[in-house]
Amino acid sequence: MNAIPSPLQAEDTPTTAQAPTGAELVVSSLRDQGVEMVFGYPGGTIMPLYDALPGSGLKHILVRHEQAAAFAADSYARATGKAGVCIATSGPGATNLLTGIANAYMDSIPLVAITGQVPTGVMGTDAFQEIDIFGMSLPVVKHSFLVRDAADIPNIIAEAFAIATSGRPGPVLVDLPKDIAQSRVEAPRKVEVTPKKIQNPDPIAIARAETMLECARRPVLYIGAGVNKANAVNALRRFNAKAKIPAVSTLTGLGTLPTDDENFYGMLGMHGSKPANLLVQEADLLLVCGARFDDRATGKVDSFAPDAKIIHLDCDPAEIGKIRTADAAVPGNLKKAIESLAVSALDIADWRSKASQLRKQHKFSFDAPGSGIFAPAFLDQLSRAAGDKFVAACDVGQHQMWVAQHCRFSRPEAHLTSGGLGAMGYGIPAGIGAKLANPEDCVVTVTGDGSVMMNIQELATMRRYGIALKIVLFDNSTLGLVRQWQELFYDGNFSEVDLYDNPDFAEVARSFGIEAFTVSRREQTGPAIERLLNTPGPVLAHVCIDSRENVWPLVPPGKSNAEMMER
Amino acid sequence: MSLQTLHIEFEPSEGALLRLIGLIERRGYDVARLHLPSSAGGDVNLDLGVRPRDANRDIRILQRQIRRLVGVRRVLGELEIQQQKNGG
Repeated sequence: MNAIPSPLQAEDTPTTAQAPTGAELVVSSLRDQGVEMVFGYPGGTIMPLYDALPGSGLKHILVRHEQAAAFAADSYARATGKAGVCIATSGPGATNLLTGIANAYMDSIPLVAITGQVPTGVMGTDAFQEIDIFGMSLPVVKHSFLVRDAADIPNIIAEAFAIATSGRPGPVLVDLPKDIAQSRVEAPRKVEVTPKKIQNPDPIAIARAETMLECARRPVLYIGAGVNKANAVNALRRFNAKAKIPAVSTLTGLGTLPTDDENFYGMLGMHGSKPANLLVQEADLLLVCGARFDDRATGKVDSFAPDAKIIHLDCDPAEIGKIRTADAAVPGNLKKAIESLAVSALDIADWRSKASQLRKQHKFSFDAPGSGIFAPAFLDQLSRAAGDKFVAACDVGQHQMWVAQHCRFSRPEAHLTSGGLGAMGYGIPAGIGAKLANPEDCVVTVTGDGSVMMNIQELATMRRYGIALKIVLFDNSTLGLVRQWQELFYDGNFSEVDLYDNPDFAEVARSFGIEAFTVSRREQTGPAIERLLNTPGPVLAHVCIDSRENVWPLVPPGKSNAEMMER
Repeated sequence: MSLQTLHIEFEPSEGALLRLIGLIERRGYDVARLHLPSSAGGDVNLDLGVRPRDANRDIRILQRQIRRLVGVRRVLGELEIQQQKNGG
């Protein structure tokens, strides 16, 4: 499907000999950083910046809600490895960005958020659409700037990108008062910005880690998203091709080792695979790479991997020892640390054999009672059919866990998920960002009937730009994960989870101009996947499933990962 | 919970103090004492007394979390402050 041309397309800004405005400096500084695409929504105080956009060479994607701008920029960053950029006006525009900024913060995603602000002269007077977004965002940004002098803009933008992308990445806010954006700058200040260097790993700590590895009889490689962020995926793959240590991953570390890697046993934690959790619980050593012992991964910390010594490699020294004390702490450059780890043949043949047995013993069964579509089987077949170009952009809920459990990922960028924040509404904007970043990828948003309603307006963005995103909407007419917890841990007191009055989602999608269809019977699984994959433009598959279906296994709250509940 | 002392040196910039105090509170510490001597345009020196809300919190982790803030030059805990006083 082609993008819809607009009769209101702005003409290129005429070239003038005048000194640039602050807004023009923002635009040229973004270009200097190699930015090609930005996501945003205009409004009062950010209008000078929008005035400078036409003809700037920056491709602006007009979303329909600022939260979607932040989510799409976040996913664009995850897909490209470069910083994503989102733009909003002051007041509600800025506050709408906050969830997306928090999402980027929790998952350490490089994001530069630019917000309009009321003119400096009225700041602090409760002016129209004045919000202290600088103050509100402090807990969820790596850093922030309030521009006081337009001459500083080139430096601020350069610093914002350097901070967002270096070390442990994260979001940076640039708050731009309207008068600063409008003022002309005769002599912009620009200094060379040098990103903060990450320390090299300590050779003594590396040697200690090697000794611990050689002494271990039941080691487990515990992989987090930090490996990919440190550009250390290939280093880790090379390391474990030699070491052959049974490996598990956090939710956001999936794809670091390909799902089909012979040494990979799946995700650990609350909805992790049984082999992964059992291996970790029995391990005598955890080699933790770029992970932070998140509570969804560890379950009850006191009983997590009780016999395991810990080698912890992370670029962020503040993560080492935060939750679990490390016996060998290796802060600093993670890629160099992994490359430095030299292990001779490990004496773990029995352990590998046990791991392999566990895999066979606890193989997931895709057989389900009834004649309805079984979401895990649908996802398994979909990701296999899509192949190595498959990218899942998940929303949050049961479907998110089924994706993590049952899809095949060839690389970390193939799994885009709101890990730390768990933000419903991430799926469609994330799919948009990923598809725009890598048009050749087969990007599939997997969403639920709860999550989809949180950013369903972005179907209009897909339509406008002809973004060939595929959407699988699992509809169980309920808030599935909450319903599951109410069933299991709240005596079946189903409170406010019934979404019986959902709209006809296929009809909704069609009203946005998106091709859509509905399936509900098991025999429709194959044809539905085929239609999804063969549709060249945007398409939505509305997949009705049984509301009683739960995500298994499950580690109950406050329990050890060894105490998994199963179907 | 025992009061612990921190000495922080940081670059003065928009929101720097807010950022520091906010981080300390969010990470589970009450700020019980704060001394901010006037600075002559250079880096700012901040002396703090903080009290963990949970006895299991390790002040060294908080120090590392403060160190990773942009513009923070140095963070000293009680031991380092003592060593510095003793000329160590």
